[in-house]
Amino acid sequence: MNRFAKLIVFIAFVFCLGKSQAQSDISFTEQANFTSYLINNSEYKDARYVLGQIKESLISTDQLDSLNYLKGWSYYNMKAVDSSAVYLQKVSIASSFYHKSKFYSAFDIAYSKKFAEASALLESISLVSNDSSNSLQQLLNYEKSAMALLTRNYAAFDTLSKNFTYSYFPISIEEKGFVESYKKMKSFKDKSPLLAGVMSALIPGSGKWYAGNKGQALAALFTLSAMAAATAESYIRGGYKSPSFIAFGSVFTIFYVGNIWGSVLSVKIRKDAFYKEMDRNIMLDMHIPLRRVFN
Amino acid sequence: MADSLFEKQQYYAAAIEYERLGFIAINNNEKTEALIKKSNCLNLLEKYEDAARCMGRVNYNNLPDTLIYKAKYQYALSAYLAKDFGNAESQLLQMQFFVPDSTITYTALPLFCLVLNEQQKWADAKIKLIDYVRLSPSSQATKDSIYKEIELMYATKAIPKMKSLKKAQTLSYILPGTGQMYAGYFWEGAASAAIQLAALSLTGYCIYVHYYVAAFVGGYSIFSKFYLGGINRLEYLVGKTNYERSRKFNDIAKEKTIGFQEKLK
Repeated sequence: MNRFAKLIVFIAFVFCLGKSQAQSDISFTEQANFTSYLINNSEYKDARYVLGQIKESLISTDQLDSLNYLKGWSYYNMKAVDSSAVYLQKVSIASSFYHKSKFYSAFDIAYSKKFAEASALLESISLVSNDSSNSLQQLLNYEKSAMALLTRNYAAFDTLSKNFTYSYFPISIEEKGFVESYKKMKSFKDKSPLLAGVMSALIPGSGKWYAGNKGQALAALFTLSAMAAATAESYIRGGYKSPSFIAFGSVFTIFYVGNIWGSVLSVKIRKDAFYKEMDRNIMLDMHIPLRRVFN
Repeated sequence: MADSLFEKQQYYAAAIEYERLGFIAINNNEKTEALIKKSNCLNLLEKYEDAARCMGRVNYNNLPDTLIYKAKYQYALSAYLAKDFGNAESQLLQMQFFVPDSTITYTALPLFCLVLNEQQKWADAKIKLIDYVRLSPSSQATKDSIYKEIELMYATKAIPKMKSLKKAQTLSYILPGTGQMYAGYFWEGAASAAIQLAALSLTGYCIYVHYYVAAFVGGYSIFSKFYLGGINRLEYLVGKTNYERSRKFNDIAKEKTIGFQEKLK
């Protein structure tokens, strides 16, 4: 083949390549618009299906960012936070979805109780110094303070909460809520499981009263008193060898020991319930501002 | 493309393409048609709740009567299949309100009948079925034979007798175990009555031999647990019996209703 023929073949190849690339661009834009439409109509499974049809090898870097964002956002709406985090984290800093993706992926990870990983992700978020980033800076500080509360790092929260302005609308109420949560958690006093057990051994139910379960305490006191009275009555009337004494005595012993063990556990249950409630509120307060800022 | 996927029974891919047609549609009629077809695909995939949710997205403004009928029918059908009978009834009522022409809407009456059956509104269901036969363009002889079958199907004796929870509870308050027997669980009621009788006997015996505390702790507490527990369980037992009875009737009624439709075609 002479040089001229080779040149013709090369030009034809470049032309075809360019055309195919242009076609894939149009196709991706259409698919992205269609997917956004599906997401807006809460058809997340369908959106995932459509996104799954797009071949990553045929799209540009910008488009790949959009694809990862749309996949992550679909999963987020389907409440599949682990998958959502995977895709949202892939969105590069060049994308217009970068900040939204990073903040939401940090929330996804925190929701999965991987607090250290979520904190590291928040630390890695890049902000540019301008007016809009000042708002994002406040949001970032706020989200970091949430992580400090979730990890019970009160010293870090003290530092971060000094930057609270209480004037940036999307987070102003929640900032106050965090300070309240912080005060509650700091003033929460751990109770001794040993003391609860000893108290219930001396006066049945008193350990549960100490742990804060007053209803359960009264129920335990009433039940065990009745059983003790029945056991004593059987002993007085029939002696220690009587079948009724053995039966009531056995049942009383089981309930008595069970009540002591229950009192020990109730201290831990009370503590777990308190922190679970606090964490739930913090996660909720962490989430709501994201919807306000990015939607 | 969507239709060809549908013909190849690739229903999910077809559903997506119908959705795409709705997305690019230039008017509300086309969009509504696309959503109806998508909902149909989802029903074929037994994703009934998704199908009903899809129909919930239809905008009924300025739609022609025939399209309102089709959309409301599809919505009601999907809701019925998703066992959301209240919503299905609501869609059928709206259809009748928005499309007053019964020559368009009468074909929805068998579905209306099935929806009412599921809600145990058998008298209303019968009326809908009779209306359907009356409005059908079929011979009078065929209609007359179906009228007779409907009368038999909804005869007072054929309608399931529902058990009353209140009555069952009252019975068990007065005589323990009889509420369960009334609800259709004879042996469970008998066992409950026997245990409560034994617990009361134990209480009496303990009092007789001067074991007063034991009488309270051992006998009375067992009696009260079974007495109150038996009454609380009645809600489940009565509900189960009523469900089984209505299910049996409704399954037969469904088959017959479909049969009537075939005859009237």
